[in-house]
Amino acid sequence: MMIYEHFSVVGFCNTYVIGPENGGPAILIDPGHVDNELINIIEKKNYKLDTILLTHRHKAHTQGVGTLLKIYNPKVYAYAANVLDFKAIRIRGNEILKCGDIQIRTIHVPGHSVDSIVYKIGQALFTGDTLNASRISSTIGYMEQHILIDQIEKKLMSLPDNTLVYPGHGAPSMIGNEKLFNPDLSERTASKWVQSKHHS
Amino acid sequence: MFNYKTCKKEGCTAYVCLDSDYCYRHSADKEGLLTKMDTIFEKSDKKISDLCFTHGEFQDKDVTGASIISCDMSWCVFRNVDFSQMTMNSSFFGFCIFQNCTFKDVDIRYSLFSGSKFINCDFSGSLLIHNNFSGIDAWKCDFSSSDLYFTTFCSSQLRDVSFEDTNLKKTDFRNTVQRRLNFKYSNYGAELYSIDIL
Repeated sequence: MMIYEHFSVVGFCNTYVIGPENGGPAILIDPGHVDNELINIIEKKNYKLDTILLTHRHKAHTQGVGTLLKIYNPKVYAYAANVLDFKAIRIRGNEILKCGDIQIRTIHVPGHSVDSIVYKIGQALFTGDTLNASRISSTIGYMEQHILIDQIEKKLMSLPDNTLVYPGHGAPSMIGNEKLFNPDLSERTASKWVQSKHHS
Repeated sequence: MFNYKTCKKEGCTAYVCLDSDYCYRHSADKEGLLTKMDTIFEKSDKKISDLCFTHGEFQDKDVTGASIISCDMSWCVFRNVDFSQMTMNSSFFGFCIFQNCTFKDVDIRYSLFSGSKFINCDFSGSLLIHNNFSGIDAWKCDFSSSDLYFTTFCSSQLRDVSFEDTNLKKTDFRNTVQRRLNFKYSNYGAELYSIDIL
């Protein structure tokens, strides 16, 4: 399995193309914007775009869907039924999807938005706007921030330390590194530790 | 992409080394693996891609102009290695030690150096975009005249490090220990404290 990153200059989001080593059905995650560079990745590797996975419905991550639907005939998966007037196949988390021989596990991680989905493909985790390198994504309020941290701790931090993290914005990471160096998560862990000491 | 197979040794979660069934630490033929790796480093085209080699030690190597793509070389030690004019993409160098290494005029994108130790390393004149330097310990390092767009240094220890005339747009310095840093002519303050686009 190969993973190719593409930086979308519209919305500054990361788009990922995932496919087999020698061409075949491929997956595209979060097409924020379609340009020649992205089309070249798909075409030069002899990929047939089979599946588009959307991590959430924000424009920065979805604006390229329309263009891709004009060129290819992919299935579009998202938590929301409609994304920018395009119909998507609804997912709720805990599903297993297939694209050729590649298996995709969906994980629902609300907080940044209600419809945030993380995709686990092999040892790689495509986190969209939930967990970035050394920070959690923005939320509209403290309650949502609490929910997001809670969901990340329960559903993502329980994965093996060597799981690769490919976020919607910024640099890649690993689950083990996030446990050690993400201040947003470690502050909470520290306060929990203090609380547990206080109660014991 | 490098092989996602984990080491056969019970309890070890490291990825396997080259085409072996074990990681470097648990391999019976460490010397053989190092020789193979030396051959890869000495290839005339210097194109290194889709390989995993963790816990290795490399000294006095010249990999100038190399292209490193989708490799995992976490927990390695590099001493006096010249990486000048190298291009690197999607590679993982977590928890490594880099001592007296040169990264002049390199183009490194979407790569991870988190948890690594950099002693007396020169990154000047480089493109270091979308990289993860979280939790690093850097001493006497030079990032002058470089572009560090969307690179994170969260939870790092930075001592005697120069960021002179460096682009720090969306660079993240949260939770860092900073001693004797030089931000002359750089856009320090444009770095990432909140990302409204996320």
